[in-house]
Amino acid sequence: MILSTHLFAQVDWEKWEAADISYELKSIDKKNYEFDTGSLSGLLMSSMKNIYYFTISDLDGDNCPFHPSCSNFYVSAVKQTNIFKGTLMFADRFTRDSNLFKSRNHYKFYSHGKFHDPVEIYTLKENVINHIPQKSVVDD
Amino acid sequence: MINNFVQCRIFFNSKFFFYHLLILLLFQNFGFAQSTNLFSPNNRFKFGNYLFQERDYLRAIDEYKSYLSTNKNDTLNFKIGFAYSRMGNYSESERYFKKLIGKSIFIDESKFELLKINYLRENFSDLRSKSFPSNKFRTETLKLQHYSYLSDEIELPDSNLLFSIYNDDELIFVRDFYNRKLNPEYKSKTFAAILSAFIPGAGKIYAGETGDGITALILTGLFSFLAYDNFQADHKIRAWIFTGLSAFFYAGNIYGSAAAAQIYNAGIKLNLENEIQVFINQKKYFTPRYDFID
Repeated sequence: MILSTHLFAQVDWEKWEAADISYELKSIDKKNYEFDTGSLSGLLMSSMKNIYYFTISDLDGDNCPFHPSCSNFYVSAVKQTNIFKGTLMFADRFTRDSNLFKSRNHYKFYSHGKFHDPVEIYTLKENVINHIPQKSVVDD
Repeated sequence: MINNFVQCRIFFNSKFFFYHLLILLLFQNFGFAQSTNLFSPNNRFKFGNYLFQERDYLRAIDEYKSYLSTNKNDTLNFKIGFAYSRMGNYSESERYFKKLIGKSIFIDESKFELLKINYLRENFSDLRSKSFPSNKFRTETLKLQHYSYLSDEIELPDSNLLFSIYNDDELIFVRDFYNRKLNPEYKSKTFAAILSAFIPGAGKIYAGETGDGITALILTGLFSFLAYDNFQADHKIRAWIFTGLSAFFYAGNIYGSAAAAQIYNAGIKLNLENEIQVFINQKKYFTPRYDFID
């Protein structure tokens, strides 16, 4: 009995060994690094987006609380509308992102924790809003 | 005596005894085996009824169809149609109910179920075009037809026509839905945008987005102040950068206020539609009580 306790005793090197845990937040949004050569505005947008990805987003990590992220929101907004309207939609999104009071009581959210905030509902087009009750989980 | 005992032990320990015992155990089952046919039409009919009560409609239909291959039974045809309707297979359901119209005792029930399918398929104009004055479910039919105005996108009829058919308990809900559909508490997109043009964030607050409204006011106010301050200090480049940022948030907020009002309105509309649907689901589409189903 006395000796058996030594078999299961915790030794120092086990106790204090550094845990092999990654604290990296894996990005939910898939980044598209390709350049859109179809049009001048597309090329301009994709260039700006890639500069942002390389210089800020890739280094800073996945910190946007929304899905799609603000950068992807901007790109989608411009694609779905035009550069002017897309920019206004992005300014509005940036305001929502800066809102310190936003919470799960107000937004719908995905199972991975990001807030549900699709581009379509801000285009001001009629009959495209598929409203989901607040505090609900959206399918990924 | 001892010899007998020893012989007994030898017998029980022998392979001969165990083989006999095994064969006896195997074959005795046949002696008590059930002789009735579990898959007889009557048994399938009974099992189908059990499955139907358990709301296992898919398997109940199989059992009923098997029974109907050798027998005729209008009740089962109706129940199959009813089961298909519950499963959302409306075309099959219609086929069974139409078979019953004209040559069975379930004419009135089948007509009502066909109307119900029209409601479920959102064929509201077809639903309202039918008239069955001699139908024993006339009241239920009228209730369903009048209720369809609430689910439809067309203009609502006069409230006296709509309310006359419902009892007091139902009327509380129907009147509430009617008033909310007639005068929805929508927010004006234009007014929200104008409000934000005068006071940044006010349109958002008007559209129910208080947090976003306050944030817009702070951002626009802060960048405007920084722009003004830098112009005062003659830092032109910084001043113009802050002016641009201020204009960016100001314009975005005007657009966002209109969008927020539209989202608010969509929420009002969809919530009402949801409540209308929940109520009629609870009422089972005003379906009369069928004794042969419950």
